[in-house]
Amino acid sequence: MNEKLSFQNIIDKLAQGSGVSKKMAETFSKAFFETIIEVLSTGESIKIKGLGTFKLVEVGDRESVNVSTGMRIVIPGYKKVAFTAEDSVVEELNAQTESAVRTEIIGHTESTDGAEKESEKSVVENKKDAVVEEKEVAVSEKTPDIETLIQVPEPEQVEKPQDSFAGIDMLISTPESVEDVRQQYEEAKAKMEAAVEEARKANAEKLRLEKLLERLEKNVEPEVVAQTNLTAEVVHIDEEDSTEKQESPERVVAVRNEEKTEEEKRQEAFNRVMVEQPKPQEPEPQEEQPSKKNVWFTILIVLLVAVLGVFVFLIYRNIEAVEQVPTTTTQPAKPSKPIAKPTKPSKPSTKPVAPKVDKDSLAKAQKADSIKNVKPEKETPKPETSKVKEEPKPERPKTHVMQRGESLTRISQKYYGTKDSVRAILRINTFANPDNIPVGAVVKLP
Amino acid sequence: MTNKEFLEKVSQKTNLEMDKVKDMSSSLVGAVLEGIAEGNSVTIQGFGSFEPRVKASRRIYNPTTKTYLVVPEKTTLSYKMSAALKSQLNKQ
Repeated sequence: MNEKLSFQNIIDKLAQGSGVSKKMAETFSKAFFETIIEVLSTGESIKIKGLGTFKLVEVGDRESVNVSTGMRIVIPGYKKVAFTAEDSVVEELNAQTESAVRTEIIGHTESTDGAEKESEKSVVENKKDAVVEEKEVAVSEKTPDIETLIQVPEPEQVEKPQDSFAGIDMLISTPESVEDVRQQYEEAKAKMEAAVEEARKANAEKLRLEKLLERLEKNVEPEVVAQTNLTAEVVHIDEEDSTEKQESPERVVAVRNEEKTEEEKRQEAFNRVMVEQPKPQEPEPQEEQPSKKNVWFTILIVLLVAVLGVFVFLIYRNIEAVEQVPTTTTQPAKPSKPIAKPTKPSKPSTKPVAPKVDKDSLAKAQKADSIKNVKPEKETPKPETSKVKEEPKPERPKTHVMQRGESLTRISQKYYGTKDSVRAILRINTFANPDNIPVGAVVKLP
Repeated sequence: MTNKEFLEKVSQKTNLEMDKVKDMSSSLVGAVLEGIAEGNSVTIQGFGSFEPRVKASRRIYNPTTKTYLVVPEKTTLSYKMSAALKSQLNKQ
């Protein structure tokens, strides 16, 4: 296996196999291969029975790159002998391995290592043997199982009911087992009665707590009280049931307790916030948690909106400042105090939208200052701010109403970004005195 | 060239009868294959080497049935010509 057989080995084999002298074998073999080469040299393909076909194949020139120098080099083409094994040869080679391979696939023990899959006969035989042995082992392993199954089917059948009725040890068929079962039944019954007693106690406790709860909730929400009564009824029904349901009233009581504490908390929250609270949520225990969350959620949203408003206001002011760079130098100088001086930008700005924005932002800033002001209209500022954002873009209304301290130069600067448009404005307008335009005069814009 | 033609040539060269050549030829091929079947590589000086090659098993996908099939590994006989033969063939 994996040996390298030389020409000499082949000759020896040939001499043994065909019963000729070694010399004879050697000369013949040499002639054999020489002839092949000769035939191939003529460019003809040659078919040898039982081995395969030899063929002369020309390999063309190909380009490559010298890795060390990076130079492009041409690898010259050459002729080579291609060999295709005969199907019978391949079949023969695989016939031995195939059985082994197949079994290995079935057994999922197939290894990708090719070295292990040699076509050596002995190996194959070994593998076959191994497979057979494995099978035998498997059978021998299985049989005892089967035997045990056959031998002791009754205990297994008895065991199954044991599993379903936990804690009941018995053999159904025997008379003792009946007594056992009876005992078990008695015990279970006792347990159940005890549990019922517990449930009753729990219910009494629950009723007491409910009364407390009622008192607490009376001034806040009468709905809850009604609900508790309802649940009390439900609990009453539950109580009458078997021990299986005994847990439910207890759980309800526990939930009630939680609810109570939450109710107290909420009242505190009301006092603190001092704002009209949306109607108290359903007194169902599941929805208590969300209601509490909602309060915080709304506060959070208001905060966010306020911050957003301030942010938008700042952006808007910056845009305005850029537009009015030469005239209003004070505005961009102090962008860090948006709330302290909110009226400043509104004064010089002549846009109809500007004051509105300021109001909004002011309101938001105030909100930011006093977080406790929870208003239901917190969502409304959002669309407004988005509108404000968009409005500076269209620009250039058709007319402009003169305001105090404004001049044509300033208008020109504002709408066209340059003082040179004053002439264009003058051209389409008629002023008594362009240097002194009265406040409130409508100036057409080109 | 067919096997028959080839054997005729060999018989001419070795001055042996055709039957004898046939016999010995099959014996020679048998000897080589035997060596291969044992997992050995057979090198014939001045000609080349024969070697059993294991083609690894692979998974193939049948797109029509959308199933994967395992093609088991397969041993083939590979031949590589010797350097001497290569130089001889590429002399011209």
